[in-house]
Amino acid sequence: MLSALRVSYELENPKEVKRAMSALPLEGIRIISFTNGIAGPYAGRLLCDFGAEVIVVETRKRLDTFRRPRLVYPKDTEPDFDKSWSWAEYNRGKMSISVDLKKEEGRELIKRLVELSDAAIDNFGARVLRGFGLDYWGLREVKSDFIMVSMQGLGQTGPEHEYVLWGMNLMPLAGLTYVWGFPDIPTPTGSGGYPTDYLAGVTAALMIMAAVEYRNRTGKGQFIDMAQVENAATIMESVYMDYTVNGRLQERRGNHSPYAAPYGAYPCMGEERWCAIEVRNDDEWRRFCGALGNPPWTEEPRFATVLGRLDNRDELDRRVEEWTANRTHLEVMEVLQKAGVPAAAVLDGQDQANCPQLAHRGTYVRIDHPKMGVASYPGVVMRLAESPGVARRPALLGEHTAYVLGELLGLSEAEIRHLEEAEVLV
Amino acid sequence: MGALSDLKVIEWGEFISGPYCGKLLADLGAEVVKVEKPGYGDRSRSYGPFPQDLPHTEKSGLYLYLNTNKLGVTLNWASVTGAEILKELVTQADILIENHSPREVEELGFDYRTLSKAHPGLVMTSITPFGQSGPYHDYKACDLVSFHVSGLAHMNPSGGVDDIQEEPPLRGKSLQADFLAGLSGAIATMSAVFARHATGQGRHVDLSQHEALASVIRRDLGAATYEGLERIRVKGAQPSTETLLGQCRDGQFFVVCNTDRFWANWVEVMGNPEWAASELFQDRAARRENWDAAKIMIEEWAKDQSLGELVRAAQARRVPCMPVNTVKESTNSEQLAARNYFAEVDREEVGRVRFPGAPYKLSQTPWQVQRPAPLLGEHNEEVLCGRLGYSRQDLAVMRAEGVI
Repeated sequence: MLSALRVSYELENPKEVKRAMSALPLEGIRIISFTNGIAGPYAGRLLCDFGAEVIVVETRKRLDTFRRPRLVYPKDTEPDFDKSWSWAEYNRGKMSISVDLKKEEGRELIKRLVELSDAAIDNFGARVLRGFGLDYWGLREVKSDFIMVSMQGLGQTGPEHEYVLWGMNLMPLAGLTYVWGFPDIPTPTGSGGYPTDYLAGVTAALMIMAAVEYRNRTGKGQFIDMAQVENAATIMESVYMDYTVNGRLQERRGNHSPYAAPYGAYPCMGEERWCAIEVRNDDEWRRFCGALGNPPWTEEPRFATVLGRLDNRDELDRRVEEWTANRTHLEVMEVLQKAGVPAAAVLDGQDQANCPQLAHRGTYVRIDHPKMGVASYPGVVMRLAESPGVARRPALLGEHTAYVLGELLGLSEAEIRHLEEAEVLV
Repeated sequence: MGALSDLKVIEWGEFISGPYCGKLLADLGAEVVKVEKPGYGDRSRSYGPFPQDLPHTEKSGLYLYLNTNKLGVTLNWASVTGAEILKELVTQADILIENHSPREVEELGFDYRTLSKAHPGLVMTSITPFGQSGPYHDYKACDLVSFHVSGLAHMNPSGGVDDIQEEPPLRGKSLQADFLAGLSGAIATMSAVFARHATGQGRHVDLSQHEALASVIRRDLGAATYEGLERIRVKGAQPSTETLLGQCRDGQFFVVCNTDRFWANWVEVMGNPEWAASELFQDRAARRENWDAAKIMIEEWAKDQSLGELVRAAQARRVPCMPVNTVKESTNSEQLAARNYFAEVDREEVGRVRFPGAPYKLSQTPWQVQRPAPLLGEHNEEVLCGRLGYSRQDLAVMRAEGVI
C-alpha cells in the first residue's frame, strides 16, 4: 500500500530542509539551472522533487518569460514578478539567486558555484551561454567531471541551430501539428498546451540522471545535446515510419481511429463536458451495448463487427451522442468502466483539482507562498513508496543569493556588499 | 559502453508504456531482456505501420521502433515453469519494468512484496493507467482515454476552427499519452536506482499514467485554484493571439510575435506595410485586441510568399518563425541530416527501415543501434541456456508445452 506521506516545507532554513531531505534519492546532487519558460525548469523541478538541490540563476534585467508582467489575467493592479503561478509551478522547490551574467564578476561567481556543483541545465538560446564562456566547454575547464544538458530547440549543431524558436514552433516543425486537427479543415489546429516542453523536460532530467550514474561509475562527466524538436519527433514514430517505409503521408483525422469505433470524445450533459470512449473489439462492444441497456439500435447487423462499426462510424457516433448527452461526463465514465469499457471523462483544471483518484494519490499539494498565499500545486509526480519526494514552495526572485554566496561560496559580507554596489546581484 | 551499462533490466510489458520505458534504458546502455508471450508476442507487433500494409509479426513499425537494443525471450508466465523462469530472470536483474494490471500481477505472485522477499535489492517499476490504488485503479484505459482524462485534450483544439466550442476536445496524433507514461517511468526508475545505491534496498515505483499526464496541463490547475478562473476553451486563449499558422504559396509557417521586438521585426519582414502603423497594432494590448484583423492582413501578404524565403527572412531578423512540416519535409531536413538524427536498421526479414533516432547526443556514451528489435523469442537460447543453465532439450520440451 502506498505510503500517503506528503510533506511540504517552508524554505525558512535551507539547512533544515537539507536534513529533512537526506533520505531522498538525489540528495547531495547540486544542479545549476540556466533556464527559462517550461522545458528547462520542468527538468529541474523533477530533479528537485527527488532531492537534488537546484539553483536557478535569474536576473531582474531579463526576467523569465513567466515572471514578466502578464497581460492576460492580471490579478493585481501592480504586476509583481513574484506573483506568477506559472513560474511557481515550474520552479517549485528550487533556490533562486540573482546574478547578472553580463558582468565579469557575475560570471566568476557562477564558475565558483560550478566547482561545488554536479551538473547544469541550459535552455537559453543557443548563443547565450557560449557567449558568456559558460557553456559546457567553458565549465569543464572549471570542473573536469561536470555534466551539462543543453536543450535548445534545434540543438547545438547543424545549419539552423542558431535559429530563434519558441516552444510553439516545435510541434509544427516536427510534423506533429500537421497531423493534429480535423480532416475537413485546411488548417491544422495543433495544441493549446505545450506537450513538447514537458517531453523535453522529462527527457533532460533522465539524461542528467544517466550522466550522474555514469560519472559515479567512471569519474567522467559529459555533455548532452538535446534538441527539443528531435524529442518531439520521437513520439511520432508511426507517422514517420509510414512515410519512410510506405512513402505515405498521414493526414489529419480528428478524433477518429482507423482501428476502433466508437472512438472519440462524446458530448455529455452540461457545457463543455465530454467523455472519451474507446471500443476496441467485439467483446468491448458487447459490454458497451450492455451498459446502455441493449437498446434495439445496437442490435443492427451493421454494428455487429469492427469493420461494420468503422464503416458506419458517423451514424454510430450520432447514436452514442444521443446517449451521452443525457448523462454527466463522470456518470458516463463510471457506467462504462463498470461494464469494462475504456472510458474517461475529459477533465479540466477544476476537475483535476477535485478528482477523487488524484486526491487519493495526493497528486496535488497545498503550499503556502509568502506573496501568493496558499494555492494548489502538483506534488511529486513520480512516486517511490519509500522515499516519496518532497514538494517545496517556490522561491522569491533572488531569495537565496545571500545564502549561496555566504554559506556555499564563503564570501564575506563585505564582498557581498561590494557585488551589490557593483550591480552584479541584480 | 553506455551510461547505464551496469544495469540489468527485465521488461515484462505490452504495447507502449512499458516497452518505451525499457527502450529508454536500453538506449542508454542498460541490458534489457524483453519478455513476450509465445505465439503472438507483444501487441505492438500487430499495430503497424507495415510495409505495403501487409501485417506481419516481425515487420510492425511501432514494434521495431520501440524495441531496438533489447534481447527478446518468450515465456508463458501463466504456466508454472514460465512463472518460475521469469522469477529467476528477475532475481538476476536489477530492475523489473511491467505494465500489467495490478490484479493480474498479484494473482501471478509477481507483486513487489513477494518478489522483493527473494530479491531485496529489486527496483520494480509498475506503470498503470491510474496507479496501484484508488477509486479508479481498476479502470480500463488506453491512450485516448489517458489523454482525455488527464486534461491534455481539454485545451485543444486551440485554433484553426471557426468555433472551438462546437468541436470536441481533440486528441493528439500518435500515442503521446503512452509515450509520456513510459518516459515518466524511466525517470522514476532511475530515481529508485539512485535510492538503492545509497541504501542497498530496492524500491517499488508506482507510476500512474493519469498522474504523470495531469501534471502536463498544470497551467490549467494553477489558473483554476490560484486565480479562480474557469479555463474554458476560447479562441482568444494564449496560443492563438500574437501567433499565426499561415499559408504561403508553397507551404505553411508558424510565427510567434508576442513581444514588441518580434512584432517590429516581423513588420520589417513584411516590408513595413502601412497597415501595420495603425494604432490598432501599436502595442501588445492593442495587438491582442485586434489580432484577428492583423491575421487577415498578414495572411493576405503571406499567400504570395515562398515559405523558404519567408522563414529565412524572419530568422535573419531573429523572429521565431518556422515551417509547419509534414514528416516528409522533416525527414528531408538538412538540419536533422546534419545531426544524423534518423537511424536505419537493415535486417533480412524486414529490409531497411528508417526511424527517428535518440533525441539526445551524449558526448561520452553516444547512442547507437547495437541490435535491432528482437525477433519473437530470438534470444531464448542465449538467455535460458546461457544464463539460467537450461539445456537445448529443456527448451524443446518447453516449446512443446507452450511455455516458450
